[in-house]
Amino acid sequence: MTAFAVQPLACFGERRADKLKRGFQYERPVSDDAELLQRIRDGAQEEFAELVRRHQSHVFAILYRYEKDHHRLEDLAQDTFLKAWRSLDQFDGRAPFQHWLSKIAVHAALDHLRKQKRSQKEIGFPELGEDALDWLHNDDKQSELDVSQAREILAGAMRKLSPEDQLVLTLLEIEDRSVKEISALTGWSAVTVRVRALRARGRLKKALEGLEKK
Amino acid sequence: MNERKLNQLFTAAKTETPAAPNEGFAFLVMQQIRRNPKRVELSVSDLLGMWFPRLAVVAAAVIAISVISEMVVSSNAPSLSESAAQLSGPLVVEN
Repeated sequence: MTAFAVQPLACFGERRADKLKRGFQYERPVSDDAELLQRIRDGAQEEFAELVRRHQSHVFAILYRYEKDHHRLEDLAQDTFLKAWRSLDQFDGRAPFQHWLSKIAVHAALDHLRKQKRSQKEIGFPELGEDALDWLHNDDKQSELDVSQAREILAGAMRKLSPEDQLVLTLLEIEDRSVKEISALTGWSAVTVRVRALRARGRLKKALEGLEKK
Repeated sequence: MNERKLNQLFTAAKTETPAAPNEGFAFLVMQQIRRNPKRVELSVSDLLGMWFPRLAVVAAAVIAISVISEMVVSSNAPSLSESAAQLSGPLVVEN
């Protein structure tokens, strides 16, 4: 009796397994990253495109802080996704995929800043307009600066800093991330993040003061 | 450069809208992957790294169980020095 009860179930199981082998399971759209990742690991390589489409804006948003040129930004984003592809087996699924991808993007950004620093011997400040120079020299609380000029000043001063200083200030002051988040993204300890951020802020001020004196 | 001015610069940077990816960006990534689809195989150290917290907990549990069982067994059994004295007793008397 038991054998009769089990046999039809076993047959059903076989039929389902056949369907899965033929790839019927991949016809259904997947809302979950984990399921999509499992499909990719099972050999559905093309499904990675869907993962790229889902997270490309997030990756671009991270990298745009460090590279404004669209072509170079696109190269950097491609590198990030290729690194993610190559080390996909190392993703253990304990944290969301986007967190893991953000880590890769942040490290790609840091490598990019280091390469830039090596290739540039002396970085000069950009040519600033009169309004920007007035704002820098003037301590008047009422003085306002055009947003694009403010960004230009900050970008110029940031370029004077080390890649690590640029990264920590961008994550902490511009992206408003917590010390814990920065620690998780960079792999630095919380104390290192705090100390580095404090020193970087001081160095940024000095760089801006150098610009004031010009 | 005072704090107010510095914060003004950071605020300006915060409001910057990041560039959006082009429509065919995913296609470009897939082209590169098709050219070289190899993925990095996991090494033993990678596997250990991935399993680290779980392995550490299991190892700690095994050690704790071993220590507790050893304590329980040794509390019921006679001590080693007593056993040794018992064994060596007749030999000492004979000599």
